[in-house]
Amino acid sequence: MAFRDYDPYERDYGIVPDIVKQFVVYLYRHIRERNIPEIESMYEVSFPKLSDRYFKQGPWPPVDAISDLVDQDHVFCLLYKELYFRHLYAKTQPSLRARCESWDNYCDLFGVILHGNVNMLLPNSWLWAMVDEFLYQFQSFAQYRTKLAGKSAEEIELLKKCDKVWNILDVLNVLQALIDKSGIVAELSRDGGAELAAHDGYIPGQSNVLRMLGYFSLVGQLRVHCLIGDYSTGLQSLFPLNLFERGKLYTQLLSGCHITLFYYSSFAYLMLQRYTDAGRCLNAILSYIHRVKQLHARNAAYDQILKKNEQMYALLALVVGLCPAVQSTLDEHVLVALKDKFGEKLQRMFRGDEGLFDEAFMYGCPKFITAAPPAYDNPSAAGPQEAYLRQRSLFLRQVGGVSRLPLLKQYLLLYSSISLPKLAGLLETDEATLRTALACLKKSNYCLQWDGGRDMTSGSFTSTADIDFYIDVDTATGAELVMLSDNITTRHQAELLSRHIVKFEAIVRDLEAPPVAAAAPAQAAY
Amino acid sequence: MEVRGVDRYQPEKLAVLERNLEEQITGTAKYSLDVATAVFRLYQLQPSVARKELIARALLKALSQMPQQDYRILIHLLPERLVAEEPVSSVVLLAQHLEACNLQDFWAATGSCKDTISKVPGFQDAIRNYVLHSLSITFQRVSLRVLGDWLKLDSSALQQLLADKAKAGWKVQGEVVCLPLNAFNTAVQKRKADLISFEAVAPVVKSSVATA
Repeated sequence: MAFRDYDPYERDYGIVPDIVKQFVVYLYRHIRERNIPEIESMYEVSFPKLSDRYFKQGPWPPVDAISDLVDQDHVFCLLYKELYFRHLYAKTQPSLRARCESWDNYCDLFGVILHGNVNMLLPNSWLWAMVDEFLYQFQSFAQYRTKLAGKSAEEIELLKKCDKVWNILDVLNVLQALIDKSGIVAELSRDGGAELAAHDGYIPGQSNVLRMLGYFSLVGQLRVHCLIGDYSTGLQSLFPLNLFERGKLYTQLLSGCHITLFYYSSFAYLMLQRYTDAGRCLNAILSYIHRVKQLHARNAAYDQILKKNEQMYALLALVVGLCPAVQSTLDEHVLVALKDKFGEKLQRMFRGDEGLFDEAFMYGCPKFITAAPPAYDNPSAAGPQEAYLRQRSLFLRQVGGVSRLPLLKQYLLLYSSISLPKLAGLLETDEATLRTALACLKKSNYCLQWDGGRDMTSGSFTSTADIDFYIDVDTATGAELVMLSDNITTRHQAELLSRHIVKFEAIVRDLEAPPVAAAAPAQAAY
Repeated sequence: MEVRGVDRYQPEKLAVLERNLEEQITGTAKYSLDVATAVFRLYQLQPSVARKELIARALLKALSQMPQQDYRILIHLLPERLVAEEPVSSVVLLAQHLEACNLQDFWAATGSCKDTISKVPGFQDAIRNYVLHSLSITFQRVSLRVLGDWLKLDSSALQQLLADKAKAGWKVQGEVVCLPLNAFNTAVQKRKADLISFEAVAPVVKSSVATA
């Protein structure tokens, strides 16, 4: 398979279209004048439009072709290159050289922001996209370098030399530096993000660049940690963002960021076996997407949002399959959508069908990476799927632990108390195995749940069982009994009745209205 | 030892972290999951410097924190190649038995990693505590024989243990041991009687006010 390698220095960019030149000049001017609405409109509308019209198959003009138009402004050139590489990654398969150059560009850009005194204003959506793209390119490189099979010997040699490029420690250190330098943690701890939300992210009189990059790097760290399987550190690095008290969470205004935050958090909770917390996060984000979907219908990001939506429903199916009690905490429309997409599969998951868990995991999980560079001298040692297979096998083991329990549960549902030997006979197993299985069932419902505080990894143990039981020994006979608790639910009819009362009264009102008006409503009632 | 912020990503600190981890295992330093996580993370980055016997011991230490999820957190960080060989593989097998509550197999398997276990003081006691805890969420009363099997203790050691636990609510009545009652091993008759919320009847009130 031949990739289309775009080496910008070989292509002749003699003629840059005039309209593109205009775009560059205006963008430069607006950035200098800190004119946020204009910058935003150029970034979100003009840039995609021009990309579509002139650069559908190839990259934008290289920075040298346009740098004269902007007085060789160093920072603007870095920003332009950021857009340039983003477009390159989206439309073509970037070469190793392009990947290295993009890495250098990001280092320079973040270097300027961290060490220089930047006082420009940039749209928050651009800043989020910068962090998002930075991590996407990092992920892409990590996967690129493990695919040794299709590469020639000299490519592998070049790769070996590029060990400093897209190194995970550097990526994490950059994110950490942005967080530290921007002081975002102290700011958010102080007021919980109120000032940020009040000013829509642009606090007047200050540059928003460093602060917002710090903010978005918190989410970025969560993402990187989840990709290497470090779930608890990922959740810890979110401090002081609070997933469960979302009133002042700024990310709600930027759907891409909000979705990323909750997708990775709920995945982390799932892998840490904290099913109720995972369910809560998924519920929150799926309701959010349901609300804001229509606003993005024409946006380039719409497809991304839909894809993540489907992935998160797969994760929700996993959570519900492992902990059915979570269903009662979900919003109505989320539950309905889940049943639509997974209805019959869920039933099979409840009965312990491991294959379905595997399928849903494969669809819903992020693209894991291994932190270590591959063994270049031994291409067959570990393939590009290594990280994914590792996390998958750990997850399936988690599933395997509970998949043999549904039959037991079904029997337990039939009784309010049953002696252990009798139950063992029904299940065709011996008492020791049964005792183990019962203890296992009890343990699987004993989950950590967040119960307040700023630390997203804290919590206390609660029972998430849909059937409660305990084992007792009858003192008289010495027989062991399994005692189940009754869950008596008194159905409340209030809502149903009041709805019907109101409807009925409306009908009666219409019937009693003066004849002229009564004719049409009387027909409408039927 | 706290590992926060930028400390998490410094490979130069690996030796310091490893030393602290060893101290935690022997009990001279306070237990902190962050240190083990940092060490394992750096091992994932450079598998060649990974010390397998330290991994095995750290995993045992994490396992003794059950029911906390420390072991799960650590095991996700280790790639296949670090887990496939001794002594880590037998520890992983131990953990699998423990997570499945398969205590017969668990105690049998401890034989195969006796060396590693001997280097983690307090491991067996911690596991016994955990077993007692699991029992207390599942059983209200349990026979002495079952208890002895699950804890792998002979009768005199078992009596000793129960005597120690008497203050915590564990009582022996003949051949049966009564466990302390808690929220998880008592039958609670949950009556989910929903109170009628005002929002449910508000439309009725509104419409009756309108027609009045």
